[in-house]
Amino acid sequence: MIKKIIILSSFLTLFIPQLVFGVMTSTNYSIIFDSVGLAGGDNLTSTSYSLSETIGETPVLTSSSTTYQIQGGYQASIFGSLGISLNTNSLNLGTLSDTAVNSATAIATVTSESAGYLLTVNSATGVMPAAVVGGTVTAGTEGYGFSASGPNSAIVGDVPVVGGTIIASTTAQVINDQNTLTFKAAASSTSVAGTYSQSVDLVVSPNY
Amino acid sequence: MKKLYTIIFSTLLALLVVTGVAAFSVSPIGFKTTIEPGGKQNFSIQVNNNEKGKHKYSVNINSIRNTEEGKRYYESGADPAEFWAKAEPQKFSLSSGESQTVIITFNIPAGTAPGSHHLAIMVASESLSRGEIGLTARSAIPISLTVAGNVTEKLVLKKFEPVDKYTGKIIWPFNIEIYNEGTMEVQSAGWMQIKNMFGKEILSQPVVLGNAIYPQSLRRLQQNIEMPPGMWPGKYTAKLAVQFGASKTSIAAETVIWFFPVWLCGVGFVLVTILIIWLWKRRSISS
Repeated sequence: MIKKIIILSSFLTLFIPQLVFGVMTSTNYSIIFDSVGLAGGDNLTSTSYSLSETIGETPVLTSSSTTYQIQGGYQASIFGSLGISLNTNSLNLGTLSDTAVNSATAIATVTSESAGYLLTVNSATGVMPAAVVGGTVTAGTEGYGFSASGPNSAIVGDVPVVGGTIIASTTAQVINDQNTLTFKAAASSTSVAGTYSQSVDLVVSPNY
Repeated sequence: MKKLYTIIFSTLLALLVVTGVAAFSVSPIGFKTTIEPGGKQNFSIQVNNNEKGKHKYSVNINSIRNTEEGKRYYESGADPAEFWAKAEPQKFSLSSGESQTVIITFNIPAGTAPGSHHLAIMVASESLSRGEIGLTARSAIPISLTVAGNVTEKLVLKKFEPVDKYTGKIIWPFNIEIYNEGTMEVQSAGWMQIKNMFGKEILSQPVVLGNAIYPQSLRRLQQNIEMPPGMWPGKYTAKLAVQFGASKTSIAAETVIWFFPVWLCGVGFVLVTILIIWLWKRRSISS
């Protein structure tokens, strides 16, 4: 029995320092991968790099730079065309109450010959009721937002109308891709009465 | 009587005539160019009126701003390169089926520092937006402009750390922050490797770092790594390698995460219970 305990203790002793203090085998750096996908299996060709060993449990963060010369005179066009239309540029939500959700709809139609498209809310300026929370504009709760539907819609539920929101996205060629935007608003019992208005800037760009 | 809570929208504006934004298309859909400081270059785009009737159009140059999440905003004044470009004509009218060629001329001031800039030719139909929610729709034609000379590609891994340093879950989220300190935009690709305390590789997989990171921009993201089942408790080391740019330069960082699965608590509880029972019995026998 004592012999077994001695053997077991010796075995455990081998691991205890590593468990407690961590593995600190070197202060030198090493390359952990010679390719990370971008190079497609090529060897790294950087002129300087520095990779680090962890000191204790504090991550060591690194940077690296390469300087090279670029000559002028290069110019390239990306062929294709991109078209957009809106069926309306004005939406009226009417007078809000705490018993209903008011809504108004606009349709943005996009045609992209080659690189697909990205339709975004680039900016939204003005004063509107509080932004929707929880993904749905509901009667009795103050909230303002929009939903979108279409073959390439990127919106799920009702979302706030804020800059940077991607409405629809595809990398495929599309002809007359219709995006139906439904703007919704609701008031609550504590909503402040007033006049609200907003300007929404939609931008369509090629998706490359 | 039930109280009505009214939020009155602008009724005057609602009385105005509602019009749509005319259908129009632009081509080509992007430019890439390198110009010497002091140099000049022209581009041309075509704007087509695909709608019935005559419409007014405007062409402006905006900057493209890269957010921490990698989103792109088109705005005025964010990049000084905006003022190096001029569109001619800036405003014009087109009848149905007509098209207009717009010339964009870049004049790079002498002595401009080399590096990359991101602009967009913004084309809009000049229909007025009215009502409570006024909508405008614009087409953006991105321009990737590089001022020639000695440029630098430099990324800094500002942060690489687990959200939970001690975890019992098999999905490990990591916070990553990468800053572009160089003068060129760079595409980047990441790779995550996780080793156990004995140095054995447990997992190795690519990490999506998003689109190109613009100069002087921060990219912030959270990467969830799903670990394989049946892992032993203990210390694990995660390494993130990032390769970037035309130079394929590489940087890396590593961090530590401690894994304590739920079953370990169960085992600990059983062992402690056994120990208590054993001590209690031993005490009973001796007494």
